[in-house]
Amino acid sequence: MAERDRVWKPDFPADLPGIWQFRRGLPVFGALILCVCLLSLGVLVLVPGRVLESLERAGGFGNLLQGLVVLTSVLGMFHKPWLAVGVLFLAFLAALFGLGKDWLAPQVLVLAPILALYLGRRRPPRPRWGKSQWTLVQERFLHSSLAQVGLAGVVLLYLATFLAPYLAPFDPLAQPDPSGLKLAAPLTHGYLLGADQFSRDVLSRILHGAWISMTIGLFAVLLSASLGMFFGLVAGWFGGWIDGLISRLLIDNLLSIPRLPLLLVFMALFKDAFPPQYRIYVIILILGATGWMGTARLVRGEVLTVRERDFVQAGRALGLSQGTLLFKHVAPNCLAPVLVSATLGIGGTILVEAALSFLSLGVPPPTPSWGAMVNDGRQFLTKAWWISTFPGLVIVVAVTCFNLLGDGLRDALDPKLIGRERRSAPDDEDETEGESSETLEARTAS
Amino acid sequence: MLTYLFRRLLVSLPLLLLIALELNLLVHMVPGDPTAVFIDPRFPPEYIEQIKVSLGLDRPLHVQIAKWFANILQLDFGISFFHQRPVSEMILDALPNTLLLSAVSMVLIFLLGTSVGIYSAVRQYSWKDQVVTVSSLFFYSMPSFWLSLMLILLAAVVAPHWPSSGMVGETIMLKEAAIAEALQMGEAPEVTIGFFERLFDLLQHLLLPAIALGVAPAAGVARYTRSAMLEVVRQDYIRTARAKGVPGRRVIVKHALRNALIPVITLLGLYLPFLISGAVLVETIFAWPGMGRLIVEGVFQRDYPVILGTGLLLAVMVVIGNLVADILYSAVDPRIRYG
Amino acid sequence: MTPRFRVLPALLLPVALLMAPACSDKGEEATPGPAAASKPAPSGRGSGDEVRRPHWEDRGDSLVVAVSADADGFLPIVNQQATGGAIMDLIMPSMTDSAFEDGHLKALPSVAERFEFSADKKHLTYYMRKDLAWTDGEPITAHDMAFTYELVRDPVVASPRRPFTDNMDPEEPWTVLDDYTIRFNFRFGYNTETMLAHAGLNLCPKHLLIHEDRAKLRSSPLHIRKPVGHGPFVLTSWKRNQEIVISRNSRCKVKPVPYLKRVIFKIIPEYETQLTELETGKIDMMETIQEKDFKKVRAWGHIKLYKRGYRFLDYIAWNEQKPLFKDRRVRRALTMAIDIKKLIRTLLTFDGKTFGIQAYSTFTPELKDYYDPSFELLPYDPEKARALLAEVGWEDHDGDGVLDKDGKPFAFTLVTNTGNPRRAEAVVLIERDLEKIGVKANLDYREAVTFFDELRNKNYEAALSGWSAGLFPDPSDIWMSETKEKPRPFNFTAYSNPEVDAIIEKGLREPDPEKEAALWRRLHRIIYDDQPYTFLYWKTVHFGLHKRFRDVKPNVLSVFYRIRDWWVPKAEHKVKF
Repeated sequence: MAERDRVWKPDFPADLPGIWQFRRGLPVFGALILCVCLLSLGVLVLVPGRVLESLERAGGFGNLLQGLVVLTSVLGMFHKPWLAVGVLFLAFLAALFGLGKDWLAPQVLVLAPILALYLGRRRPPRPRWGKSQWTLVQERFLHSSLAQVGLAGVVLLYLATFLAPYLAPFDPLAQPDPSGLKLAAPLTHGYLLGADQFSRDVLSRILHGAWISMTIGLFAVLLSASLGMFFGLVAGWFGGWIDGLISRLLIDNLLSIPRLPLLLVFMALFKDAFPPQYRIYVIILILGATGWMGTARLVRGEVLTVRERDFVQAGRALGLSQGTLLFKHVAPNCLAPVLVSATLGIGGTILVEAALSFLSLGVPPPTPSWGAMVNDGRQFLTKAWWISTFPGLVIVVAVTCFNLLGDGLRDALDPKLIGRERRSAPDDEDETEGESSETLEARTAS
Repeated sequence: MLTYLFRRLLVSLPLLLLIALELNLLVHMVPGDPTAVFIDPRFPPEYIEQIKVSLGLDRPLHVQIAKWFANILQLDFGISFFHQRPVSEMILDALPNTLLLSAVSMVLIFLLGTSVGIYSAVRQYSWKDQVVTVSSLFFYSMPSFWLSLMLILLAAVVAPHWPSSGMVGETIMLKEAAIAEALQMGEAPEVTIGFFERLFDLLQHLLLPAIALGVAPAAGVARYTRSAMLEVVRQDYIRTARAKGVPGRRVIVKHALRNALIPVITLLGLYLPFLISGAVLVETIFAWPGMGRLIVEGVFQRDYPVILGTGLLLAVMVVIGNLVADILYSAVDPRIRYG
Repeated sequence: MTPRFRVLPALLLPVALLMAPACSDKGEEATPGPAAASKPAPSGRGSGDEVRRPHWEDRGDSLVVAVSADADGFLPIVNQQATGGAIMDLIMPSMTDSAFEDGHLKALPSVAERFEFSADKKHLTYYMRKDLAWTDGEPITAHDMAFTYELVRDPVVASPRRPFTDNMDPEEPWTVLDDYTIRFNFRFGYNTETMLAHAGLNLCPKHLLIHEDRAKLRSSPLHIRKPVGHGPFVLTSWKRNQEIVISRNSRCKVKPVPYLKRVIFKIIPEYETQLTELETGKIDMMETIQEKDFKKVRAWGHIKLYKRGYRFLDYIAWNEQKPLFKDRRVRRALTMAIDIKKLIRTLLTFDGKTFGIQAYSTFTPELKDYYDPSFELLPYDPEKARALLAEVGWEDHDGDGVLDKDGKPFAFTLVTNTGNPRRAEAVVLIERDLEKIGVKANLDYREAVTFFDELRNKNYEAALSGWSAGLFPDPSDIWMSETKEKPRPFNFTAYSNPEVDAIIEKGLREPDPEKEAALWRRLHRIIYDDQPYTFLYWKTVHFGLHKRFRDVKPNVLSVFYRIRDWWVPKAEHKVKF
């Protein structure tokens, strides 16, 4: 007992997020994490007036409650992670449909899960010798400077999303002088990146537009990753007719129609079923529901190998139930490729969302969104090139960051994955194929 | 091999049928009335019914779907509501244009992609490799519609006379018109169109859309090639070749390249549906009269037969594409045999 | 020249019928062509050097016109889209030829040698030329005309021209007197313009049509592939979604042969692309040039701009079936809250010139007789608007910046159609204005098909839509109350006012132009008082044409009006073959 106590006692009093990375000689990573945590907490703590005001405007008590639920569940994560996850999920749903149009919603929505996941992560017992799995991953990740650039970019993008109201020089909807200042060039009249046809500031609109792209990207991918995970696990684990049903009937079926035409039809179907202010959720649901097939294939392939491993056999021998075995023991071991494909998927989803907005099927104006801004500028292409150029450039940068991060994660999580050779049998649709067809989808869609 | 092919196709049939059924149901669920395009003010309501009758929309849904399936079996895709032409004819009009554009961009994708990939693989971890990797990732992340607009903008600034719309230049168009007139009148045409004139004109029109369509996938292929190449270079037989004293360039070209291209070639099959569907947005922006525009217009006009016809065609192409990928794979990799 | 003659409601074209994505004004031209103008067009800018008349040697050269959508077909009985209608007019023969002289519409002989009206103005008789033949050699006779109208009247065909026959004698709408004489019999006495318009459909070849399945006329080769006609032009080739070529028909006997050798309609959906091609000389003409580009276009030097008058009206329809907009004070308040002058300044003012005028009715200001310059418009006055809303009970009780009543906020969805940048911009400006008085408008966009569906079924709250101008005043479709027998799908707002109904009934039958004009002026006032629409603005349309073309006299409604008079001096010919 005494021995264990000695080992487990934290040798640094404040094991704050980010600090221990410093101590392990990972300064960049640590600094970034620290930065995110402090800044995002700062947003919540330092501007209570703003927060309360927006909560009130968005619907008063109910939303305050939601906020509290989110925060409590975050704290609860330390002790009862699964319960907290449940509460968080409910709060999440409530916030999704309750906090709708307020700028605070995405902050709570984005912040809460990140904080929760980070603070509530299960810390494996630190091995006495050698390094833990995650430390190894981190070290591998930090080996690549490109991956760090990607991470920094993604962090900055999310920060920009949270802080848009403070960073943006103008109100993104304000039209100071529609007749006089329309199409004002960059660097004139205080417009850094110029003004659009309503004299709205392009920079401010890009910053606020990050909201749409990042929110849709994140949540659609969360949805599709969960769906993909679920179907992949079930198909791989049970095999037989269940596998046939899921693989043939769902996956192959949905993959057989190129994504953009499919989305066109889906959007036409469901777009007008809800009032326009809820359009963003419709888009999240549709993008999530049509984007999970690649992940499902990956997971299925993974499960096929994992279920033959010794620890699963051991679990069976111990008489663990199928559910416990599958979701508690097999699932975490299939997580790595999902994490990678989800990160890459966010980039792809941002592209698809931009394409939808470009076709005027996205979030309705005047809410700024990058794809719609490119479309807006199309009729002024030669007269006012900045309207289309800058939002497009931001899309490219954002997607590049996610791709860099995804690549870095892939290399870090599973060194075997780098250029692993495709398996020989054609029926064995494993990750290589799944991945390439997925990236292909994102391409053809945009 | 043949039995394998046959078996695969047989397995795909139910899938295709299912997709066709779903498409039918989906299309009829979509809000928006296809007869709306025929409506005029003071158009008596009973005429709308009449038009519905002539479009076959008056019948119950299951009858409409059954009829559609019966027609499909005879390869009859129906008649477009909006254009009142057979859908098969419309597809045949659009398909060659899309194939041309896609073929050119495919060449671009694979030539550019593999060469850039090999280049950066050979110089792994050098600053050149880093630059190429980052920039290919940058292009890979580029939305094609934005790239199209930027290309148009660039062309407008650099070369204002460069064509950025359609697929035929005005000189050719006028000459074709003159020739058609002469033929109609039974006279000998005054003008002729030289082969190279036409070819040059076509290439001019192809350039911008092909770039817009090809750059991002080419970047993808480059990344893919690079990692495949790196994988191969680590293999024992390459080390053996090097140890044996085979010159570096020869090792790369003769031994490594051939094996590295195997996975890349299989991508070809996966790109096949993309070849047919074209790029919806690029075609719209460059006014390229291809399948992409057909699909988008079909959806926007609620032109059921067009949506169904093109949708089914796409699904068939996906199935064939997967098949081709497998066959190509076995063709380049002798270890794989299908029986 | 049928479409030009179409009598009203068809003139108030539903702008919602916009099909392809992202094009500026295509929607407004989605139905077949515009109708006859009863007034002369305001004189076009610079109509070339008038002194020189064309010589025989000036014949030749091509005109390349950019159009944003492909044609649907060329059979006058079923044609519906604008591009097809314009071309149809040039390749199918018509009984008479319209001309505007001294500000009046005139019918000139064409296939008909002469025509006469009976004394009671109930009959119109055409005496046709006997030496004319279809391009396939069959003679053109009165039976062709009779058969054309038979098809129009047949419900199986479901022809959009059917209303033409509504005012004809139901027993015997027309009588074929002999092979070359046909008489149309009307129910009441009409003015001659209307009669010519109703009986002015282009002729179609009976000997070919008789073999066609009537229910499938829309997919007949005569419509969508190879029209057989006898007009100043013939269809030479049609590459779908690319270009349509029509060439001078030198065998045509009825009309002076056009000077231009051919006209090519090049389909370019993208406005910016059209403009670039116009600049580089790849096309000669654009049907609509947006005002923002005038300065640029003038600077090029080789393009002339021609004005076509106030052609398009944008308005906001408030659906009176929704409780929110039932009270006319609410509608008036909303109108007062919208700074329409600012809309015009922002959307329609470029480089110091304004191309729009505030609207107060669905009658275009081009109809000078009905136009009322002293009309008193509601002012832009947010304070008054707020006060008026407070009177109804809409006040900001909870201090959240949005008005509310009985705990419900004043919020609604304002929809418009996709693909029309001007409207897309207008709603964004309007949303800002409304927010200032505490009214929350959620913007939404619909594809044209759905948008139009929702308007007709009154399944919307507020919509920014538009009409394109007609020059015949028949407001019945838009403003008359709906009844069981006579549904009015185009009365989008469910507007119903017995007084308005009565005035319209009376106005349509009024033979005296003075009294008629007075009635319409009163109508404007009543409707404007009720504000079923917030009338925004009328907007002019300009087309751009290469300056080498001479004798171009545009009018408000028809771009290709008398295209066969257009000519290019030999020295300036661009296309020599």
